[in-house]
Amino acid sequence: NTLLTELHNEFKTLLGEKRANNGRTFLFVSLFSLILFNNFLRLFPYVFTRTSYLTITLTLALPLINNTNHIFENLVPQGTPSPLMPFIVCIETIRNIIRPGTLAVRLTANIIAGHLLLTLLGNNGPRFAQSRLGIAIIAQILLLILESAVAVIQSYVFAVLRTLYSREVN
Amino acid sequence: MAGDSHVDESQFKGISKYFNSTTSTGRANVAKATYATIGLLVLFFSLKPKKKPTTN
Repeated sequence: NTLLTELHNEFKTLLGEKRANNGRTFLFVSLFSLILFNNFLRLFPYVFTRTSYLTITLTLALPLINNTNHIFENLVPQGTPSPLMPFIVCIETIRNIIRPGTLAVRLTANIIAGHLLLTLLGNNGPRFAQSRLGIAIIAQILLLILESAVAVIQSYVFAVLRTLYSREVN
Repeated sequence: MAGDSHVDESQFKGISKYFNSTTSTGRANVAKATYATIGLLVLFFSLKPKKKPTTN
């Protein structure tokens, strides 16, 4: 499969050449496939949208700490000026705590926003005058195309960011 | 994270031998010391006896 092979190569480049990263690309390619599949399913009517729930996306985003050996040294970037080091530690701690949240909320908010627009336009369709019905249908079709693109982009963004965060921690 | 295999540790003297932003142990020690300081401050302010208002 060309898409998955391309993704595998890209994640391999992002993760680097460390021996410990062998096989880890499959995890992130699977994550991408899962989110892509769920995002596409929700475009069909009356299908339950899993990725629009924070519980699901937070579960996918939370396990960011795989290797606990370098937790403390990753809090201070190399070459930080001495007076700034304590403040950088606090800022990096807050950044690490917030990261799973931002990852989960980004996916949820994008999926919910698109779904909401589609639902609102669809529910108000019968109220439109006949002359404006054509515009509503065209708008709905364009929104559907946009949401298909968002489904792919958001799953890609999620997987890439998880890869980058995983590389930073390990 | 970038390793410190090419860093010459003999260049550090005194306290900067243990607390610096170049070696991995130095960076880890800075983070641990910061957490310990914050923990001690929190402990100090939570255990500090509160001043009772004097009534005349």
